[in-house]
Amino acid sequence: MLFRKMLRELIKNMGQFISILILSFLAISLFAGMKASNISAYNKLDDLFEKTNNADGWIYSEGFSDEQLESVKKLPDVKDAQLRTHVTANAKEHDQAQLEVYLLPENTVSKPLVTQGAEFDTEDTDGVWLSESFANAWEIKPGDQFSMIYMGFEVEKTVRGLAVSPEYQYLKADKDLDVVIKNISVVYLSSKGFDSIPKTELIFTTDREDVKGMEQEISDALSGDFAVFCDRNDLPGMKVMADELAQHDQFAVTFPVVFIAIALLVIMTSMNRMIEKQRVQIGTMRALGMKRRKIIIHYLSYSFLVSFVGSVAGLYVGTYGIGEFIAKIFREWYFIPGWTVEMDASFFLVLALIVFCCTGATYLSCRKVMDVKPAESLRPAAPKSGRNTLFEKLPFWKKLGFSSQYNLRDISRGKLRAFMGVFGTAAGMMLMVAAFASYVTIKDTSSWTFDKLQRYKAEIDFSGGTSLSEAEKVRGLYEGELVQAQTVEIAAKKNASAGEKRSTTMIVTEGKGNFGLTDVHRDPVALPPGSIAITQKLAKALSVEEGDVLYWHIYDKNTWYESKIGLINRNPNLQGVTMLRADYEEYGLEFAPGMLYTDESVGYEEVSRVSDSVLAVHDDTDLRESFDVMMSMIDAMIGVFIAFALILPVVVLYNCGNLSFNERVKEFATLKVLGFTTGRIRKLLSLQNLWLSVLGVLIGAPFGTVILQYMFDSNGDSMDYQVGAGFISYALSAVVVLVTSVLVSYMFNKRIKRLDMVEILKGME
Amino acid sequence: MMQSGASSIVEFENVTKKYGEGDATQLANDNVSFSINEGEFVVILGQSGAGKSTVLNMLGGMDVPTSGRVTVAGQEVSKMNDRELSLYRAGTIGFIFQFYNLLPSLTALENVSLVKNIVKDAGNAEEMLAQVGLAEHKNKFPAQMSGGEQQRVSIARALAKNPKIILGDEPTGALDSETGVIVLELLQKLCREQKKTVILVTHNADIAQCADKVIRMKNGKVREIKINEAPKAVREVEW
Repeated sequence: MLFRKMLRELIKNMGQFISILILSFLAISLFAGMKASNISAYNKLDDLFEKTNNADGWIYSEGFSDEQLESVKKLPDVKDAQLRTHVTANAKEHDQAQLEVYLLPENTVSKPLVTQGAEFDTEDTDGVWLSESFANAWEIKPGDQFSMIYMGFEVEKTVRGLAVSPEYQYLKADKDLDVVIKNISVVYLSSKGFDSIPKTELIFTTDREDVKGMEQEISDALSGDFAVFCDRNDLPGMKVMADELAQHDQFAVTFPVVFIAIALLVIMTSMNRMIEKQRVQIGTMRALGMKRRKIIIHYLSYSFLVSFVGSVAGLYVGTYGIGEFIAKIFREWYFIPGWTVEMDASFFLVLALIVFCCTGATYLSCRKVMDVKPAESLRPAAPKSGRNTLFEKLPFWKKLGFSSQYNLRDISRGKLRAFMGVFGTAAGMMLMVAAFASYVTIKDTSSWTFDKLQRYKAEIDFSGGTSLSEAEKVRGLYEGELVQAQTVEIAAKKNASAGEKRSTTMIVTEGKGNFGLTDVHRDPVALPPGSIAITQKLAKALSVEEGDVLYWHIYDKNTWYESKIGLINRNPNLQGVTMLRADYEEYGLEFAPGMLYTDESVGYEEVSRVSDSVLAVHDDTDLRESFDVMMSMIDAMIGVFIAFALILPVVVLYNCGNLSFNERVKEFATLKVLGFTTGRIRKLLSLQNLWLSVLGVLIGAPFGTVILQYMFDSNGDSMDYQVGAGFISYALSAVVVLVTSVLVSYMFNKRIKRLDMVEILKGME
Repeated sequence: MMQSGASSIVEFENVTKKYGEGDATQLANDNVSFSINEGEFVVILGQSGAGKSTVLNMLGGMDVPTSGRVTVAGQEVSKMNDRELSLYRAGTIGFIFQFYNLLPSLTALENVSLVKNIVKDAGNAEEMLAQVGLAEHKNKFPAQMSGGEQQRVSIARALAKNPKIILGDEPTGALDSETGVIVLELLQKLCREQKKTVILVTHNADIAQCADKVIRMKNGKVREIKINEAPKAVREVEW
């Protein structure tokens, strides 16, 4: 019987229960959505690393000997170790795609995971193994011929198999701004037949957690003869992915917490109200002799059922809907075989937490009524008496109209309800501002990039090993600036330990300004000769400032250099150091430009006719296009954000209005009898909601950019976006939230019209 | 003490009110007809279920008849829509309820001032409170006042609208007899001195002794309309 009562009352109070359902649904679906793809990613990565015996440590030098390998192998912490050679080459065809070529003398550590064709074989001197993604994009199959160009030499091999590399979840060609799978592949070959090329990498596995802590023993084993020692966190191919996953983990906590907090507020206030309304019924049940426990369980079953249904649905939709959607998007960027969605114990913990909180809130309100004597609870509770409120101390209180005074007193009677309204709209406003601001920020970053940083019409990329004289010949034909980009390791002090060093990009320019620099205020600036520029984020990480000395060495070379920092600069997409060609050559280093930034609009056809060394030409429409791709992603994100941002104020303000309406239904009936029209009463009701939303808008607005900056920053160290919202974002968001607030009040129109004055006023107080 | 030649302000003509449909139909008012003159003190008397509250609801513009005509102060109430009814309630009727129905979050003075939001020429709230003898309690909230005081605030609120008709639904029902007498005296005084038409709905036959006209109802029908040639002053009645 009580079950029927529950079902009927759930239907009767549909609005309230649906909002509880929606909020618990949203809270857990957001959590599950963010988390499900991550759990799968971590599990599949573990699988991949195990199957391929992925390395834990990477040591680079100009060349390792077999004796050095043996002494590293003998270290107690080292499990497996091997040598290999890594060079960057280009495909002869296939748009001269970038090839990360690995020559393997043996196949024990970081083995390619072959997904199609024959297993990798070190004895097979004619075979080549390509990245599965690249091969599929070009429809290359095992058995096909594949030609590569390295330092001007052509090598042709037969494709034996397609593979996934454990070291490259993230694989982006240097010339691309974003992942384009057609433009890059990892290539595995047997090192037999390439004996003259030195083995530049020594990779090993270990069970130690702090791989970096092994630096000293490694150094001793190698007699200090190596350039760089890295762990997984230093490898861009793995780090970008790891950062991305860490970011999702962070979001999986931050966003659901906001929703859960709001859900709890709504649940607490609605259940409180609902139990109060049931006071007489509770009294009757008790008078009839029903056990206390039975009554409490009856009321707990309401919120249990609603939050449980909402959470379970949220778990399912979050995991298989949102989670799969996120995994699908990110599968375009990252390569993890078998990446989908998975759940883990934390999902059920969060579900239990939400259901527990909802039911707990009900228990608290229920207990309050149960503590009243049955005879007393048979009569309705005394109405909340009017009291003088703080608001009356306002100097202009007396000048306020009836509506204002009435609503201010009502707010002070229902503080939790008002808090819920403000908090909910604030959260909605925050998300909305963040959504619009991300659009403004990307637009702004686009103009920062194209107007101040990339000041050229076309970028001409030279193939690897192009000589300086050849590059200068091309520059003689197309006015512009030659630029070299290479990986270096930097530190703030001499003899820095592994943890104090950073690997980053060094740009060497001719100082003509085609490669633009901007200072910390994002104003164009020139690099003073005789100094080095360092990007702001990196400078902060190393705690260095202008005038300090920076120590650096070329990644796979062992000699360290010192340069004075002459400029702290900012660049949204490229963190690193910049140096002038003349200063670079001062150190006796050879300037080896990889690209020419020219003021002339030229195409590949034209340039390739004058030089064989030209790999690709990107005019600035190409470059802008890759920005547009990013923009369209942001557009999708804005859509999702706005949807979530709108649900919050709608649900919360509807609930506020609903509670406020129910609490004042008798007063509204009185006003109606006195001659207030439906419209007047609706305005009275909506005025309060409007105030709460205005407050929410004011409080939520500043957090919009804060949360957006946090999101951009959590994108990893390589980005430095300056978040800005602009007046338009605030204005638009405020208008949308306030209009929503007014529209919500129209949801009460019918109920005000149908107010049964006769019935309500008959009731005793 | 009906004044001769006074015009009628309320006309009920063959008013029938049904609730529900089919077998469940309840006949709350069955062909009810009566008229009330301006300035009369009228009591509608009957046991519970007699249909008197239905009459009051239609008179007050809170309900419309199923058939028949209700005319009040020249306006045909039975044909009004929601908005017109609101305006009618605002301009013509002053309500007094059994349970006062003051807004608990407003003080006595504010409850009366509220009327300014409804009618243009509302009476001065402080004067109204003084008239009902509550000038000193103006800043109290309803919860801080006795039932009689609250009912007097509610009368002041009704008066502030300067209505043609004051409608009371068991206005003394929740009060002890002494307080009830004070409230009734006040209503009678308004009728006599300010020429307000006062219509009270009650099951208390004693009150009928003070009325100019008594409309007795039973089972939804008017049983008797009695003109009191010599209505008693409230204090003269044995309560």
